[in-house]
Amino acid sequence: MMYRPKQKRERSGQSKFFALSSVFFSLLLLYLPAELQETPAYLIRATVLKPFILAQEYLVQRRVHSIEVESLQIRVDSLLVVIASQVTHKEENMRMKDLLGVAERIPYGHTSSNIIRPGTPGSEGLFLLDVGSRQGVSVNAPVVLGEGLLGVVQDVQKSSAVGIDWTHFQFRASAMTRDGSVYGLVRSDPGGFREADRLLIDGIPFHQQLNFGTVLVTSGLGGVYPRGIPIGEVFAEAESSLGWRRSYWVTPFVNPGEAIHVVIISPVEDDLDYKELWNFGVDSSGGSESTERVILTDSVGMN
Amino acid sequence: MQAQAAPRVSWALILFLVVLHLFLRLTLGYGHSAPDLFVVALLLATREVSLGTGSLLGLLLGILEDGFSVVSFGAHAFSFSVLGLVSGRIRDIFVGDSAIFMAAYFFLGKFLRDLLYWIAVGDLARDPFIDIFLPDALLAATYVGLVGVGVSMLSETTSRRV
Repeated sequence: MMYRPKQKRERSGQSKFFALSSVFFSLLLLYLPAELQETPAYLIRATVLKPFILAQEYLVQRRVHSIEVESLQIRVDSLLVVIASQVTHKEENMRMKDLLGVAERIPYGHTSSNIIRPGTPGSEGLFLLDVGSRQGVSVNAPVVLGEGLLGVVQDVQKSSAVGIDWTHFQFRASAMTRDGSVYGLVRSDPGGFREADRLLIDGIPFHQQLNFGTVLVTSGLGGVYPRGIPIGEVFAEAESSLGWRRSYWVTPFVNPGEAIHVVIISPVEDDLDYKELWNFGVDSSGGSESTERVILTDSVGMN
Repeated sequence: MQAQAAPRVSWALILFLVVLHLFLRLTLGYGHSAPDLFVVALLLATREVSLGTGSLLGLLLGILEDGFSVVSFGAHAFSFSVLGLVSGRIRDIFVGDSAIFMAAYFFLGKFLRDLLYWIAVGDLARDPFIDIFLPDALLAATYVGLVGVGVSMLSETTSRRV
């Protein structure tokens, strides 16, 4: 099908009316309530954009499968050794849990997923997950990596979900030091360019100070993030407002660009402390603790 | 009987640009490294179609782009539909096939689209004006200008051969 030549262009009032209607309709979309906006956005992703998303999923999976094969083989070998040596420990562990009545406290509801980045304007800080409500993912479920917190699930469909990472302007998390002595609210603070984005912990009382290198974890307040997921470490004081409160820049443990494969924590009804899954060592005020972390996010560690 | 002037671009080219845009930005994840081919497609199309069709095409392209806008759904649709309307109104200013005129047309179109999006996206999702427009938007507009001229020249050459 070809365009009509210039000589045949319509300049009628009907065409102008049509054009203005399009603009009006776009304004209508723009001012739809947020709840109503999710449906058309999902419909577009599930129809027209679906082939492109599937193609990206395929490419991501191919990349995941192709890279680090050697490294994965080494990990598998190591895990086999660990599993073989812990067969008796697991049985003993389960028996002790039964005795203590805490078997149901272990979070078996974790879901792993690949991350897909849309790469379109306006989608900065957003990612797609190839799992959804069928796999037990729900809205506000935290998304973590081995290093710590990446973000949170924002919208869930049957077999896919949309999440935001910590660089997104809507990201907020209640944080605390590992000993629980200082609490604050962590939010994203955009840098001059996307790669310079960082976190800011705000709302710390003026009489409390954080040492540089202090590790911050989720506090569990607010009911979104379970207690104890590592967020980052303090690297500089941002401001101290007129003797009322302090805020600090925080270096996140998770670089969103490195996230390819993630774990989504399903909501657990109890108050499990995830701090135990990330063993940081002993001291809470030292600056080099993060390098000493032993990350225990695999299934062996959880059991 | 008066001979009809041959159209310089076809729907096939517009569709190709749209698919290529989504393939580069979404499937391959190049993001801003890939040029905004939606703008190129829209500006090429509006030189040939009516005001209403151009604006409707802009609306559809914007809605496609809005598929991943969780918090500012409609901002792309608004910016593209207004761009379709404006470019349909001013296309006669950028007459002829001069590469400079065409580059200016695509440059200004892309810059206008970014400006409209920045206005529509809302305070929460909006980065500071200086951060967005100096130099990012200027570079992006230049990028689109160069690619747009290339595509339109290619389209001209192809249509002449046909």
